[in-house]
Amino acid sequence: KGKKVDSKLRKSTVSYKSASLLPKDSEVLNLKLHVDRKFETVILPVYGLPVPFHISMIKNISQSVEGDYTYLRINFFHPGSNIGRGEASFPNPEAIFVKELTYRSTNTKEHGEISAPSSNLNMAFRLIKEVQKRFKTREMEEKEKED
Amino acid sequence: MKEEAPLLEYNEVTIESRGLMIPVKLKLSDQGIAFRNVRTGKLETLQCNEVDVVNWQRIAGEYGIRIFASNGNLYRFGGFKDSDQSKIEKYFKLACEKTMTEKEFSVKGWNYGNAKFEGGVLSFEVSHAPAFEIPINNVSSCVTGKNEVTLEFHQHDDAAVSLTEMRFYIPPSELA
Repeated sequence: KGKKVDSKLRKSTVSYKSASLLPKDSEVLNLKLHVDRKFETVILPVYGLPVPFHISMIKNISQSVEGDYTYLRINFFHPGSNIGRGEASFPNPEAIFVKELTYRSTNTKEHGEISAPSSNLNMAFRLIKEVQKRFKTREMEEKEKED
Repeated sequence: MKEEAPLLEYNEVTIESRGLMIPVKLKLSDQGIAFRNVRTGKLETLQCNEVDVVNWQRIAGEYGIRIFASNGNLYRFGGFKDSDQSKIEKYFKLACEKTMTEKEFSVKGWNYGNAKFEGGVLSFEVSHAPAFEIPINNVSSCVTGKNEVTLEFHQHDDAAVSLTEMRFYIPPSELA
């Protein structure tokens, strides 16, 4: 054992090897939030483009209801944030990091809608937590095997 | 004899506007590019000499045309099929003498990279391919803090889900 952990870089897992692997889900097509459980990736709409973020990039998430709207805030790992056990360094300290993204959705159901638009954020919140938990458990198991 | 540019009409396509894909009727002719908002009836046009770069790209999960205009504005049309690519490529070649290249976006899923500005567009690049592009006219305010920049965005009330805020971590060396 010893202190070899210090020199270990934080590994970056790739979400998709090619764009053709992105799910063709209606949430993706309609620029909503989508959680791809198979590839452990969250797909977030940014000005027309569904953008994947691997679950390992996400530090934590929070949800709040303010008036007629639901907000979902996604915090990503970046230098200076506590990156947890091992305290591995970041592979690219000169890089710019997306630190936080906040999405907003209305809680008001329009006539004819089955559910309010904010149900997409509620579902994303639940699934991100679920995938994150599964990912962290597996990561910890792998670390235990190494030790 | 010079081959004539084909006339192409797409009545069920969209244009990206403040994070929403808005239905438009698009006409590509030897007169240039014309698109009419289906709901408001508003007609906009672009001449060939206003087209700086034209790309074929993934947009809203499908395929689309990306036009970067010489005034720095970005136009992105969505709702196209794979099979439209060659026809549209031919149109731009013959009408505008522009080669429509394919623009690949990063799908690595990483949150770190490089931010680049070109015209009115902020592009976030992850290992040499853009991960996303933000037309700057969507930004309502920009606040800088210690090692960070926060962008707030104008909201589109018709969008089911809209991006309200994006915060970047900027390494100390970049600020020096």
